[in-house]
Formats: sequence, C-alpha cells, structure tokens
Amino acid sequence: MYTPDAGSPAALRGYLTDLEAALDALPPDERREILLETRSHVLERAGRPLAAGAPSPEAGNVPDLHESAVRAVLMELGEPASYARRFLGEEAGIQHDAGAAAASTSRRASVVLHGLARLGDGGWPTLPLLLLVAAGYGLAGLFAVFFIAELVDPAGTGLMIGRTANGLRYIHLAVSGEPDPQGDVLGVWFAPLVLLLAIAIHLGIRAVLRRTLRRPS
Amino acid sequence: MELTAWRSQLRKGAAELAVLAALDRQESYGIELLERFQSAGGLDLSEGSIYPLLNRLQKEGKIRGRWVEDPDAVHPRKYYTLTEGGRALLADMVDEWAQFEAGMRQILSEESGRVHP
Repeated sequence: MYTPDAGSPAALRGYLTDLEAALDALPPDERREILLETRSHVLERAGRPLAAGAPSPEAGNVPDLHESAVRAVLMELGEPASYARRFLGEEAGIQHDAGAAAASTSRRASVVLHGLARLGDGGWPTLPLLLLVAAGYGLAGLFAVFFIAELVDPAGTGLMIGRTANGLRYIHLAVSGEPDPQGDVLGVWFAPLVLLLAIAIHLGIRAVLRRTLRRPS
Repeated sequence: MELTAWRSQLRKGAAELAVLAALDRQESYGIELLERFQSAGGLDLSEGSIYPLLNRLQKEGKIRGRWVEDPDAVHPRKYYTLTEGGRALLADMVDEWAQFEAGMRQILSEESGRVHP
C-alpha cells in the first residue's frame, strides 16, 4: 500500500489516499507509480519551497500560500475518482483493442457453429448438407488422428503397400502397425499431407457454412 | 457540435502523436511536456490528461519511464523516452498526419474558393 510521507501537505495526502482507493482495479505496482508521479507533479507545480530535510508543513513553517497552491494544482487534476477514471479509461481502451481482436477470432470460430445450427434448424431440406458436413468433419478428424499417430510412431504409420496371402498388393492406411519402411508410400510426406487435408476440409466446410449463413433463414 | 467540444476532440486525437514526437526529440517528464505543448500553442493538454496518456503508452510499450533524482528538485521525476516500437509508431503516425493534413488543406482551399470566389 502506498503511504504518503508525513511531509506532504495535508490536502495532497488526502488526495493521494482517495486516489489510491479509486485506482484499486489496477495492479499494485502500477498504482504506486501513478501515486508517486502524481505527488511529484503536484509538489513541483505548487512550487514547493521546502528543501529536503526542512521542517514539515505541520510544524507551521510553510506559508498558507503553499497549501493553497497545492489545492489549486489538485483542482486542475480533478476529483480523485474522476482523475482515476482517466487511467482506468485508458486501461479500458487497451482492453477494448485486445477484446476486439479476441472477438474477431471468436466470430471466425462461431461461423461453423452458427452454420451448423442453421442447418439443424432447416429440417429435411438441409439434412443432406448436414450429413455431408458431419462426414467431412469425421474425415478431418480421422486425418488429424493419422497426423498424431505419424508423429508418435512414424515407422508404423503411413500409406502402406501390403501383400495378401495370394501375393496381391494393396494399399492401406496403417496406424502404429508393423514397421515397414519399404512399403511406406509417402514416407515423411504423410504427416504434412494428412494435416493439410484436415485443414482443407475444415476451411471448405466453413466456406460452405458461411454461404449458408448469408442466405436469409 | 460546438467549437469547444470539437476543439477538445481534435486535441484528444492529436495528443498521442504530439507526445511521441516530443519524446523523440528528448527525454522529458510530465511537466516538461505540458510546458512544451503550452508554448507551441494550440495543443493545451490538461494536467489531468497527460499522465493517463503516458501511463497507457508505457503499458503498450511505446515509451519507457525511469525515475531520476534531479539535483534541482526535492523529489524524483519520472522521465520518459521512446522505445523502438514507439519510434516505429511515430513514423507511421507522421505519414498518416501528412496525408490527413494535405487532404484537409485541399478541402479547405476548395471551400475557401467557393465562399470567397
């Protein structure tokens, strides 16, 4: 907690106490900086005549003029609550900018959810599209699983060439299966490919749903 | 809109640019900035608005402050200077201001020609 020094004029001490309370929403370090700077400003503006180490105002050595000069400077700053609101208002401005950015990200994410909700409300006519979206996300999810499996077990995961008992060859997707470097068709390209496919499916579905949202319901 | 309110809005909009430009020239503390704006004319920032602005600019990383025990003062002063981010922002704002000023000058000269042909 900030403690105004006893040498400060009474009006300033009272002002800083009220200001500290009004700045309660700010972090302690920032609050303290503001209080120190406010004190420094007021004392310099009021033309504090005392040098360091001189008797305190309470000793009656400071002319009344100094106390009135301090009050005049404090009047210029405004009431403590009003002055504090300016700091908080600037803080709100910073948070608003950050919030706007966050809201923008949130809006992008909610296109999918709103689109799905619109399709769900559309009844039978929109059912095929809803099923297609569900299948698309199912496939994207599968690709995401393959991507993770490739990272965990690259030797056993991938697009593999297998061989039946009759000697016929076939291609299959393997997840943490028998390591078969010779039969791995895509090798290191498997992971980025399935990841890109998953992302492409998501972006495609989002584009379709955005068109759906634009149409009047 | 009354002239007083418009003037207040105009100064509010220019305050950030003025502070950054002033700090680009030299490290200054609050009262020094206020006196410089007062002498420049047309840019009277109130004492109650300079410190919230400086506080915000510091939190945004555009300026940095440091406490200095000045020999000619009985109390420490907080001096501010621009950061690299502040310099970059200032350069952009100066460009914007130049474009704005040129546009306003054109509009005002057209208006002046219309009113006083």
